[in-house]
Amino acid sequence: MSVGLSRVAVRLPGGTEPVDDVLARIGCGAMERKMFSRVYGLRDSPVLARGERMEDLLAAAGRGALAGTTASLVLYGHTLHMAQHDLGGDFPDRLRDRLGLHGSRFFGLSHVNCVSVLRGVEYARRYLHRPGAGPGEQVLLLGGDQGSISDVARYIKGTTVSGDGAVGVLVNRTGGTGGTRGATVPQRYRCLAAAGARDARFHRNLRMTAEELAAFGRACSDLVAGTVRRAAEASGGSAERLDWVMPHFSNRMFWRSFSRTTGIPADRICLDLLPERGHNFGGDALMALEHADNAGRLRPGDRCVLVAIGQGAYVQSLVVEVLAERDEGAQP
Amino acid sequence: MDRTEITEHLRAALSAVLNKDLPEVSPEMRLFEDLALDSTSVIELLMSLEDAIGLEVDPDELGPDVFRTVGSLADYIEAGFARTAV
Repeated sequence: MSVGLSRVAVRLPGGTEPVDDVLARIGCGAMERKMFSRVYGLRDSPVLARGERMEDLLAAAGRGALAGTTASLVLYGHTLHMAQHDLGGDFPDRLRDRLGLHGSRFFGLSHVNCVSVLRGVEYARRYLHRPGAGPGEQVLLLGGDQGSISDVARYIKGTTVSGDGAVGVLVNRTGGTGGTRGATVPQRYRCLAAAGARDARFHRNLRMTAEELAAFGRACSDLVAGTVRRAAEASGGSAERLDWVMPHFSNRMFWRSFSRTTGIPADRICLDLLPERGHNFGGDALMALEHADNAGRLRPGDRCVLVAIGQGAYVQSLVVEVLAERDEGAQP
Repeated sequence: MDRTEITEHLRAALSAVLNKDLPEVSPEMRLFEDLALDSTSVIELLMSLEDAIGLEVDPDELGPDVFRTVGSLADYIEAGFARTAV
């Protein structure tokens, strides 16, 4: 794909709320609540603490990703339309001011719901390869929503509960040494291939009937397995040879089923964060990548597939290869 | 718990999840195709059986084979009780 990603900056709010409290407030039955905790593995959901604002998290994630450099384009992938209400019409200007990106263009992506963030990598690639683009240009990709703004919006029946969190990552063509304005941030991940899919039968989104919701679950399972396979093959490998799956944190049961369907061992699906962080809209896969890397689980040369699933239904899989950093030798 | 008791508990639990009375069930009945359950309602069914009859479900063991028919689900429950009894 001839672009790479910086390390991921994740910013979480100061509060946490038990998923079961959210389900109880919505009025879910005892069995569904038990299913969320016992089978889905969803325990806690991050929420903004008193006085915190989603905009603060996004700005902090953006600053973390920029690491003192600049970006000519900001893409904000979000799922909820709260960005148009709570964050307000002048949100792009405020955010650019806070990031020192006064001359940069800003676009929101939300039409593919939780897939918006990973799909943003493809839009960034196209932007960076447009006629006249400078080789040192960067795109700042931001993601995340304030799930806690509405219990109705953060709960998908029989599927998941979403929280508040923000991610930021830079997309560039050539990673530099970073640290100064005008430079580029070193690439930590080389983007190898991506595959997307959609099934518009499920366009009713949160208004789907129980039958549509059941069919949606089955369709998503097939779409995810298909896009992972296609992205892996387009990268010159195969799904079986992927080192890691960085998943959408909808619930543990979905990924158990994915493991059985694809033959990818469950221990290669990085679900560590699921109990404590749960689902955070389009930021999940990048959060999983950041966590695995910071925990020392990734080695140069490892191939990871990042997966996002959106209501609609939309799916995106992105295969990246871990690159060596200056103090990290390439593994044989 | 013998097979007859398991089947009766299963019938009662299915009636509750489906919200309609099932006078009888047969081992060949397919959970998804014949009874119109989905993966979520099947899990709810198992969770209710945990409460009703003390079945212990290990989510990591739940594969598609378990949910094929009433008979395969009864096999899973019977095996679960056999393990607990050891």
